[in-house]
Amino acid sequence: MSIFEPGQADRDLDRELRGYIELLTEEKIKAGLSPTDARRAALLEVGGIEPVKEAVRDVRRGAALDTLLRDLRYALRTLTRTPGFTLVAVLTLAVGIGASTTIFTVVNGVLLRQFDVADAARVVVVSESNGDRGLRRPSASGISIQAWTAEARSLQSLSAYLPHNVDITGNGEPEEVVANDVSREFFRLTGAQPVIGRLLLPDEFRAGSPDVALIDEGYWRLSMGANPKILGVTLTIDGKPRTVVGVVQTAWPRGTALYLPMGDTVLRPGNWSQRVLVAGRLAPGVSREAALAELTTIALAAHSTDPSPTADWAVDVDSLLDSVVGSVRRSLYILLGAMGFVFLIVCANIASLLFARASARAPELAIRNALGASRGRVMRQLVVEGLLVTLAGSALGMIAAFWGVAILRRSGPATLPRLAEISVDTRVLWFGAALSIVTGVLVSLLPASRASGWQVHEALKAGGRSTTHGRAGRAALVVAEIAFATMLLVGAGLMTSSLVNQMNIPLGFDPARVLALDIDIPAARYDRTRVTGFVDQAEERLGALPGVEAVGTARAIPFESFGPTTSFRIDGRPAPDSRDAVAGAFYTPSTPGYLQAMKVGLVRGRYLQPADDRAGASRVVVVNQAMARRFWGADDPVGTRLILPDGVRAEVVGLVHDVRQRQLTADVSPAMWVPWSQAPNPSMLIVLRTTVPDPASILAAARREIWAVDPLLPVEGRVASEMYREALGAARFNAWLFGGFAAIALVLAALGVFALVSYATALRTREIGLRMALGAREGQVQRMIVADGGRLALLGLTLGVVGAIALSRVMDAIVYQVPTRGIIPIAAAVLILGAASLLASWLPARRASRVHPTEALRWAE
Amino acid sequence: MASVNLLQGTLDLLILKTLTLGELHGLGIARRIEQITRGTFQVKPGSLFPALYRMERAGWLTSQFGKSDSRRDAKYYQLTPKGRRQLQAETEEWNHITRAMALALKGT
Repeated sequence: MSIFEPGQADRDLDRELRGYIELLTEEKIKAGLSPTDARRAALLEVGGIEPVKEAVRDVRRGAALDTLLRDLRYALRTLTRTPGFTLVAVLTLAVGIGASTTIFTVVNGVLLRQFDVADAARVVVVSESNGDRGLRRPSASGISIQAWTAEARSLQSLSAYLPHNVDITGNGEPEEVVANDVSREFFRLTGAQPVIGRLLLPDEFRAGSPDVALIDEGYWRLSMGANPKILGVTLTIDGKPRTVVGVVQTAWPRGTALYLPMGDTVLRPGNWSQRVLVAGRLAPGVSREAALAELTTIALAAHSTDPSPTADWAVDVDSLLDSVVGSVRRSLYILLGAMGFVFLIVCANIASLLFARASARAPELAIRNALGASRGRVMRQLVVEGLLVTLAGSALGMIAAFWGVAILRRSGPATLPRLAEISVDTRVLWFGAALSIVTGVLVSLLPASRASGWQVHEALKAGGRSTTHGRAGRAALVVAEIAFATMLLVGAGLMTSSLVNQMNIPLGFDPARVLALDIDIPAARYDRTRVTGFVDQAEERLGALPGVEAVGTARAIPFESFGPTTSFRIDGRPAPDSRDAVAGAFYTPSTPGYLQAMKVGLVRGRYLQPADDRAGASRVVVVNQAMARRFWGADDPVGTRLILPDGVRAEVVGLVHDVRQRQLTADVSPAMWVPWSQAPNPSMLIVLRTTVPDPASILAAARREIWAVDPLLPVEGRVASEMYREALGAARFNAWLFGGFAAIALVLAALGVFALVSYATALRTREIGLRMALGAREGQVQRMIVADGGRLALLGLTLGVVGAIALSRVMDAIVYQVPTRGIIPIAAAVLILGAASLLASWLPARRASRVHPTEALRWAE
Repeated sequence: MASVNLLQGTLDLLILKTLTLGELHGLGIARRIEQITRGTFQVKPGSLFPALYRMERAGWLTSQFGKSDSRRDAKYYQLTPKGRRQLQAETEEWNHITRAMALALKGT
């Protein structure tokens, strides 16, 4: 009888039934019928072979189901009889599958999933950069765009676009949103479709045409309640009335609220200072390299007839995905790799657990075998148990993954692009399913293949002393676990050092208790003088607020924006002989109170003063140390004069500490601050140094003061300490994740050592008893056992250190100023893991050495 | 001849009983049952073979292919020790029930 081969059972039944009919026929012939009649009568009596077969099959199916239910019941009983094993196995699996799936969800959502843009794989973003001078912006000049649009054959739907902040007023509280100025081809490129209304008409891009706007579907749903009556409504955008003509759905770029037609004048020839973003779709059969070659040639030719400071900038063509997530690809893959190690450790641990369990059950299984349970039956029993464990672990793991993804989406680093887009999609579910299947096969077949072959005499011999099957295998698994755990601990060490190093970077200012008000004044309503007047009034009112210690205004503040740059010359030095030698620095108009309110330290000279802002005051600047080092070397800049592009001479009156203006880890660029009245700007940040622990609590009062000056201005509040936190976000995220991985790895590796040493010690109880009876002391026995565990740990640590050195080379790019081949993280990892392994070996050793010799000997008999 | 619907347990008991004297093939079992019940029970293949399959799975019977007296292919069934114990238990059970039924029917 065969359960595993239904085909054989069917053939047997067929043979049996044919025999039955022949015998019946024979009987009828004996009774006097002719052979033909006899056969017909026999068939008639049987009533057809198929119905009989079907009846047997019914019974067989019922029996199989019955067996399965019985196996399940039995498996549940065995698993609940060893709740420790079951709990550890299920939880280990849940952690492994949950964590892996969560990290994969991030990688999938950020790196793998294409944008929901028509033919997204062929969409490229074109940019220009000034090569080794370090400015790389995802933007290109009007000259290049004009030339490309006219001549390039390698790109289709070449589009210019420029997201920028605008104010929407006259509709409740004034609000600042992102508007995307787009050129004609933009919607053809993205394949965006109007949800209601229409897209922009060609005429609407011309100057003098009626002012219109499109609304993004996301913003329409979120802020306008998906109101269909929005069509035809007039919104006041940056002080200019515009009629809404449509609601459009586009997957990229994200976070846009409005689409406005980009005026043709922006793209006029000769306009090199106006920089916009450029994207297009590769023409059929054209590679990115070919497009790059063509665009470079065209840009060079265009600039040769139209000289501009950006003539020598290099062109780059990146895929859409690369342009958005290229910067985080490496660190995400490193995270995924680390996650892979955690998963391998999980698998090794479970395999190791199952070996131990199978060994412990060897006598039981052998007896069942001897009592007539077929090998297949015993195997099936083990497979069912394994599947139950996998099922429970995977289900828990997937629940954990949903939960983990929700947490990451809420609290992942703000610097991670597309974070809001991550979700558990079908690809993630397949990934989770694949992991579950891998572990399921491992968990089910491994012990089954080992255990079902054991023979009764072998397993029962001397109380199981000889069942050392798989001990070498288990030792190898534990060594692998320790090696992977070492690598993860080193990785966590590197990430933590990187975080600490970044936290120790001097900021150059004090972010504590600072509230910044982000204000964009619509240029349409304000001229230069009015902007200055507004700032004066606003600073006066805000300074009088209770809880406000100091007030200052600047065009750009750290971590938020970094303002324009300017070229300059130092008075008394020869003019530069080439464009490359032109000196440049960030140029930040600020009010006298700004540097003091930010507590930027003064090195020499003085800060800006109110007198500098008066009409007719002589021009002055304050510079930072980076600028002093770069352009004055060891000399003192204070007292020297700069010649600015407008020909005016400005005296350097102060030298201040370097302020981290952009990313924490980027070098500080040369920067200067000039009196606000010299270059008042409609876009500004007013900073309030407060005396309250939570500066955000002042925001409402601050808004009221701003609105008392101008009720139509949107005011966004930013807390400096939070911006600082966000700047550390990526480093903190990496440190937390690696720390988590390392913690899991450490616990699992220690468990692995503990389980293996406990098992090996249990097998040696008799030997230990004998040794102790012969006079060995407790300490000697403990040392002997701990040494066994120690040898495994040493081997694992050695392999792990080799792996960690290779790993740290890969991680070099994402850690900040950590000597990655340095000894400290490696030494720390070795110490921690070594100590954990020795502890895990010592616990069973102590237990074994406490057993009384006579007891140990009796037990083993 | 009266065609009596066999209860499952009854058929099992009859099959076990017919096999006490030695191995038999399917048709042999059917004919033996007819014979010992004097034609009261006629066992159709549609109920015989599922019963045989079930009983073999339960470990009461074993089977192997062999040749009939007339050199025909046939599967022969044999009682296992477990089958013998089962027969004994079921016989006792049956006697118990029939006595009880007889008493009950006589009593009223």
